[in-house]
This record gives sequence, C-alpha cells and structure tokens, in this order.
Amino acid sequence: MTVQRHNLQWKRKLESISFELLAILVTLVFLVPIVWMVSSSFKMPKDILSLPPKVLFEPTIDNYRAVFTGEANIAGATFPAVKNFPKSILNSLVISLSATFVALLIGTPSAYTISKFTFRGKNTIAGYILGARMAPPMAILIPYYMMFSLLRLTDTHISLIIVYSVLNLPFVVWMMRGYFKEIHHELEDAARIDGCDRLGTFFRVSLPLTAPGLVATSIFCLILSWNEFLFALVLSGNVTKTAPVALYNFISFHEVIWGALFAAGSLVTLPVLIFALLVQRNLVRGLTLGAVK
Amino acid sequence: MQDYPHIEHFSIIWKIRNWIDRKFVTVTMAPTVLFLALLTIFPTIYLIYSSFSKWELTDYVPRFVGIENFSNLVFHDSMFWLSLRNTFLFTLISVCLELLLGLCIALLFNRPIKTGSLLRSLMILPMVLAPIVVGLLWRVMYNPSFGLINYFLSALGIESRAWIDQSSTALGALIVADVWQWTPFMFLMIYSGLQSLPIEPYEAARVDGATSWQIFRYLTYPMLRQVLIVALLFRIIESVKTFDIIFALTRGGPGTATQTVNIYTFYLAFEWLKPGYAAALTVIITALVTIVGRRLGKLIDSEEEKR
Repeated sequence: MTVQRHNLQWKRKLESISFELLAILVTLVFLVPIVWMVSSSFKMPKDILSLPPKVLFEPTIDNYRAVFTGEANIAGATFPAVKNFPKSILNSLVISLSATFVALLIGTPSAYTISKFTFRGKNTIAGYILGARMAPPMAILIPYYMMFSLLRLTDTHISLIIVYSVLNLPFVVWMMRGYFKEIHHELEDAARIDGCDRLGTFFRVSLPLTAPGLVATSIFCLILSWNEFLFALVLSGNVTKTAPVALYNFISFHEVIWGALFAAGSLVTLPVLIFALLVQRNLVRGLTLGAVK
Repeated sequence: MQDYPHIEHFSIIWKIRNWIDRKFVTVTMAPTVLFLALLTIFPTIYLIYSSFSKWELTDYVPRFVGIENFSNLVFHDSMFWLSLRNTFLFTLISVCLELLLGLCIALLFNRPIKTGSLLRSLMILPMVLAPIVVGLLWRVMYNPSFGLINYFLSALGIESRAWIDQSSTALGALIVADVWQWTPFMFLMIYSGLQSLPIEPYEAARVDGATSWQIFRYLTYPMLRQVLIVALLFRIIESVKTFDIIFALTRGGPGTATQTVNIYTFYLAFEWLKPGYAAALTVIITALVTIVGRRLGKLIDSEEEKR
C-alpha cells in the first residue's frame, strides 16, 4: 500500500516535471529567433556566420556604429549601408506620436458617447467604424496614393500622420468603448447630481477612471503605427522614410552586412518589446479591439 | 440647466458649455464621423470610380471603360485566380495551424506550471514584432549558409536547402514564419478563455470519472467555442490582409509561388502602373472581406451581451 502510494507520488512528480520542461521548450521555440537576432547584432562578422551559433562571444558595437554612420567596416573593406537610419527612426517617432495623439483626441470622446448614450444610428456608426479597421489595406492605399499625388502631398509627414490617424481611430474608439463601459454609471450619476455638466463629468470622473485604459490604448496605437510598413513604403519618400522602410532597404543592399541588418532590426524591435511588456495584461483586449477581456 | 455661480459673468464660456451640454452626442460624435467619412467614404468612391477606368501611362486623365477591368480579371486573368488560390491556401493552412498549436499550448499552460507567468510573458513577444522585422528575421533564418533553420534540421538529419528560393517550399516556409508570429496570439486568446472557465463542472466530471478527452470534448470545447470563433475570425481577417511578411521574405516569388492577392495588387498598382485594374481587384476583395467582417461585428456584440 505505502509502496504503491509512493510510486504514484513519483509518477505525478515526473509528470509535472516533464510538463514543466515541455512548456520551457515551447517557449524557447518562440524566443530563440529573437534572442538570435539581438545577440547577433553584437557579434563580429566571423562570429555571426559560425555554426553552431556562438553563445559566448566577444561583444562589439561595430554593427550599431555601421547603422548610425551608414558605412560598415568588414575585414578592412568599407561597405555602404543604408544612409540616414537615425533620421528614419526620428520620422517614425514623430509620425507615430502625432497619429496616436490625433486618434486619441478625436476618438476618446466618441468612444465615451457610444458607451454611455443611446442615439439614433448608433449601431450603424459603431459598425461602420469597425468596418474601417477590417477593410483591406489596398482599398485605402490605392485611392490615398492617387489623392496625395494629385495634391502633391506624397513624401510629407502630414500625409502619413493623416493615414495613420485613420488606421488608429477605429482602434481607439473600440478599445476605449470597452473601458468606458466598465465604469459604474452610479459614479457619473453622482457627479451629475452634484452639478457637473456632461463635459465636466467626462473630464473629472470618467476620463481619470479610465486612465490605465487610455495608457494601454495609446501604447497600442504607438506599436501599430511604429510597426506599419505597407503605407509607409508607398507614401513615404526620402524625406519621410520610416524605420521599417529603412530597415527593408538593408536587404536590397549587399547581403554581406548581416551585422548591420541585425542591429537595425534590433533597434526597430526594442521599443516595441518594452512597450509590449508594459501592456501585457491588456494585450488580448487590444488585439481583439476589446471584444475579449 | 445648471448654475455656475463662479463663471456666471463669463457669459460666452457659459453659453458654449451649455450648448455642448445640450448637444453632447453630436459634439463628441461629429469629429470621428466626419474624419472617417472624409477619409474613407471619399476614397472608397474614388476607388470604385477608378475600377471602371483605365489610365494610360502618358496622361493623368482616366478613361471610362465600363466593366472591362472586372471582366478581364474574372475571365482572362489567370494570375488573379492564382493569387486568390495562394491567399486562400496561405490563410487556411496558417490559421488552422495557429489554432491547433495555440490550443495545445494553451492547454499545456493551463496546468499548474511554476514558471508559467514568466514563460507566458516571453511567449507573446513574437506577435508584437513588426511583421517586416519577422520577415527579415526569417529570411536570415532560412539562409542556407548560416541560418538557424537548416542548422536545426541538419541535426534532425534533414539536408539543408534554400527553402524560400524554391517554388515547391516557398509557400510552406512563409506559412511557418507566419505561424511563428501568430500562434502566440491564438495561445493568449485561448489561454485567457480557459482561465475564465468555472471550476465546478470540472470537479463534477472528475468525480464522475470522465477521461481527459471526454472532459475536453464535452466541457472545455463547448464553453470555449465562442472564444475560438472570435479568435479564428480575427486571424482570418488579419491573415487576408498580410503583406509585410510576404514582401520581406519572398516578394511573391520565386515566380508566382507566393503571390497573394495583396502582393499582386501592389505590383499592379505601384510597379506596373495599372491603378484602374488594381482598383477593380480591390473592390472584389473588399466585398468578400466585408461579408466576413459583418459576421464578426455581430459575434462581438453577442459576446458582450452575454457578459
């Protein structure tokens, strides 16, 4: 009897350990490529090419220097890399921040109204806003490209900010709508009874209560705009090239400067990874426009 | 109407606030509706108009050609059908794999695992990466001389080859990269679904001596169905939109092996300068996506009403 129980305990323990190991293994599958990219960005050319990949290596920042100067030194020879990468990062920052700000400014009050009031055509409008998010990118990109060409607005910051605001707006409305729905209406009623008008209630009660949601939503918008590639590829030019487009240009160059490619990739990825860890808890919600909590 | 004794004498401010208060719905909805209407309805009309027109390279004035673009697409363009087929295959296979893998991983993590929360945080990283970064990263991963894929495969005894440069394997290689990026999404959706399930039915089932398969089939699956459907629809819509990762990995090649609708439209509109033809193609795709999108909107609403 005791032996049997002992065996059973051992079996359980073995089982739980093997599941633990399996979970770690699965996670590694998703993690290794990212780790490989970031670690390779600190490797010298000969270490990058070595197989099996070197875990211990002498770190170097040459690759990052190449990204910032636009010239890579490999074995004494100088190779041209993508010029103006730092500027493209700045472009990406300016465009993402502005587009996020515009979308929040316009979208948050509407999200509040959709969540709290009933009015004629509400469902139609809400559905239409969602539809704008589901639309195939080409349906927006082709007419925009023609319009901006006609208005001579291609390769300007303003055109990209407008486009990204359009892409962010439905996202803001649907995300914030969910957060506003969670506020108990008693709090707002109390403010109304105490003599606040609707605007006052919105700014003094509802908005502060959704502050964490507002932060999560803006971080999501930032990530979406920062990662966007297709619209930037078509609508940006030398002046407004964003970081993803500049990164893409790395492969059209000589395929020998792998180190610089890894470094540029890491630079584009790093801010997103930090942001993602910050909004981890809201990730499901963000990716499903608030449909699943 | 309320009293604002402290701002009574600023009568203009008072009037404006009073007006905002009365027209609150209009004031808050108007910016969004106008902004979106101006920036989506107008382009959509322009898109439909272009789909019935043809541009010559020499002039900027489009010529009305009726349904010529549409009839050419449907009846004479084998590329159109090929890219539809590729999009369909890409979406079908990658989304099914993501669902299946996501479900398995979620069930695994649903067990008590000591380092679970740390592993979960790390697991979700691929899906926030820019798709263009994922495309470039996998392009290097598939590199026959020093990429990790061939290294691991050779350890398993599979000979190294240029996966993305052969028509027979390019689409598969693409799907693998997409599955790598988006399985964490499915995992996260399903995992949070699992976590929100009640415990009592499981205890009852265990007391009744149900097998794990029976528990999954008759308890977990029915309770999880809605979450699965929402996750599936989201992935389908996003997957049909995929462009970046394909463009970075294969640019639609080799030949036309990975040319999806989006890639084909991109070439038509921006490289081969046939905007009218590309517009017609986009109109067809938009119509298809709208049907799926409507269904999704309804599902989200019914999900929310249940809570």
